[in-house]
Amino acid sequence: MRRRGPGSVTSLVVVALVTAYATVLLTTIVMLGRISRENGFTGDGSREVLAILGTGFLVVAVVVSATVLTNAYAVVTASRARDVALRRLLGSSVAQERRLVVRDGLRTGVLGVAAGLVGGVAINAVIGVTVGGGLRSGVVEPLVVVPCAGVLLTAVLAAWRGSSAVLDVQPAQALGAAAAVETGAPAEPPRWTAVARVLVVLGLLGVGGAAAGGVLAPQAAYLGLLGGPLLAFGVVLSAPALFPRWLNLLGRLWPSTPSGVLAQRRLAHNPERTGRTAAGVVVIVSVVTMFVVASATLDRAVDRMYEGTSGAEGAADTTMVLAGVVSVMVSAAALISAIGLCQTIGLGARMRRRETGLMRVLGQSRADVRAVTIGESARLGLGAVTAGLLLGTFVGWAGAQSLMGSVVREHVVAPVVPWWLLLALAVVTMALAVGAALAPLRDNLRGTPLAALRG
Amino acid sequence: MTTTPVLQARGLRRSYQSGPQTVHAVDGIDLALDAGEFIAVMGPSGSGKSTLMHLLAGLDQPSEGTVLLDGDDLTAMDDEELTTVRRRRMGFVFQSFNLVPDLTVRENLRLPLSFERPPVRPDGAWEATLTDRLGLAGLLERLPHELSGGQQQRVAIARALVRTPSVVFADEPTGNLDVATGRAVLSLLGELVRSLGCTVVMVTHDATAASHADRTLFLRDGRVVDALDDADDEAIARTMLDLVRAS
Ligand SMILES: Nc1ncnc2c1ncn2[C@@H]1O[C@H](COP(=O)(O)OP(=O)(O)OP(=O)(O)O)[C@@H](O)[C@H]1O
Ligand SMILES: [Mg+2]
Repeated sequence: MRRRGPGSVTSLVVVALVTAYATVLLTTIVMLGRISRENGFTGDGSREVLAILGTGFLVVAVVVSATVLTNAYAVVTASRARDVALRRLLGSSVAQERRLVVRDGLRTGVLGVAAGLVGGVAINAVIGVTVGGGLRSGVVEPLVVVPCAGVLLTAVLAAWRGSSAVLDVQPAQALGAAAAVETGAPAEPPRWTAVARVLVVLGLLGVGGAAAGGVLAPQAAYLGLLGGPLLAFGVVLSAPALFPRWLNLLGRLWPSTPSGVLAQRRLAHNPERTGRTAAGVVVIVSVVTMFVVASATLDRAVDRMYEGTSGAEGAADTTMVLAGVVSVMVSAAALISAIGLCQTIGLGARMRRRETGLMRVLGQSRADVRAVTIGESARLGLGAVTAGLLLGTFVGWAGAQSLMGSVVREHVVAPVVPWWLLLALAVVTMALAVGAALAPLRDNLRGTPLAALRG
Repeated sequence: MTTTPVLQARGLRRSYQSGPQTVHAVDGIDLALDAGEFIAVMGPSGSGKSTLMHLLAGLDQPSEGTVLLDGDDLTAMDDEELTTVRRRRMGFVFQSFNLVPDLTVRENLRLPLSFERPPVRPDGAWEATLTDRLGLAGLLERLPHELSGGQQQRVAIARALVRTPSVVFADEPTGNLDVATGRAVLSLLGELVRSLGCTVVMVTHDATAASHADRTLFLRDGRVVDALDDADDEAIARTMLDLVRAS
């Protein structure tokens, strides 16, 4: 019985990453604010925009980490179903089992936050040295305590939520005859909770309001700045309920081959987990898309205003630069959601070992085993990327519209979606999703079908 | 009249290296099974029953010896050829975990057909006969977890027979069932394979189960130490008891 598995390591890395990110981001925001105040830049609103934007990014990062952590604990608990079942058989209660998981969450939280703080302070110091004097004094910003406490709480809560997978484990599963959790009844998709609905509605109102208000004045953009993070939060909370439906819808577009049908069913087997896995990816893809679409749309609108005159040259470059800056800003959250995606897909594929063995005994070719597993990950990746692109395009356009609506003659700007954006995001996501399945797939296919069937 | 055996094993051995010592799980077995023959394999735990069955099914490579299915040497085939043979000419029923949890009974039933490229169209009439005889007609749209253990095993039997294979391999097919359900499942298996002319190799611990067979082989330490033809459960149980006492 392994007490610390790959899951704990993942959780530790996620907690440390988000803490370091929060430390750096917060310190930077506070310091930039201080610098601009010292230099007498007040009243142009850029400090407020920066603060709101920074807080928005922080919220997104923490929320994404929370889903990834919850999933990590749920998946690890499920993959240890036999251990849990054995202890349950020997008299351990559900509460005791859950307490074990939560204690692990607390330990991981404390260790991760400590590591993240050290890392964050180190990064701040490096930035201070390279950027120069102004930042050096801000290596440790006291306000950092707030996100640290938040992350710690998130880790413990995530462990508690994730540990509910213990409830699915029956002591009889330890007897070996019965199969693991993964082979049990498919779960119903969870309800779309009231909180999630309210957040999505408020978020959409904010973003939509910004787009509509933009016809009157560019200050409408503030509405979007508030609506955006709310929407991100809402999307993450809604994903377990809504994403499986989105996948179903997309699933209709594929030809229904036997491999495809099975891939689709497997994704539907645990809708909550599938949704949580996708949530982070959807949010990150939409954030990146949002910035790129907004800037490309703005560029086009500005170009058209100056049509005929020079100055249109640098437009594409600005978009690229912005994409780079945004990538850095969302890098922590992106990394965290990528880790979450890979971990869930990897462990999921590993848990299909016996099933793979059975199928091979019955005569499924290796190529078809691969087709099912890769098909499953590819569908998940594609679902997440398309949802993120659609959402991000809408929000990005709304941002540009809010700024330009009152300026352009038609009062409405058309969204511009650079094709390289679609390609890059799709390629990266698909590579991660499919890549994560390859190692366990190779393991499952190595050796005789019998070895796999035995688990 | 001489018929070529459907399944033939010659000088079959399988040894495992566990630390310094070598375990001979199957230690020199010769077998010849005719079409339609139903044999049961019995023996104490660890006597090599499962290992023998896996060798006969091409699921494991022997250390020595050959296995011929309809004259084709399984030990000379590569993984892909073996996969095709299993899909087209063999049926399998295991003690547990026979069904893919996310597929309905109907889909599970058709798995061996769906693995063909292009997929083979199911023979509706045959499928109906099979599901009728196994009492599965009303269960086709259910998922495995919605079935009782006996129903699950019946689905596994239907699937094993869906392509009328040359040989059906069953490793303790009733091991997880209560006595009455186990008997019902076995009678069905016996009846069906007899009417189809399939050869059956069934590993079992249960003398009553073995009494459905034409012949019962008794294994100990990887060797066939006794065989009974058309024996009833009492004779089989007595032989088993002697075997266990002797060891
Ligand atoms: N992978 C393996 N590595 C090492 N030894 C093995 C392996 N598989 C089986 N054995 C050994 O081979 C012998 C025969 O095993 P086998 O599983 O065929 O027995 P069995 O008759 O099916 O037993 P049971 O009735 O308990 O299922 C045993 O001594 C077992 O320990
Ligand atoms: Mg056995």
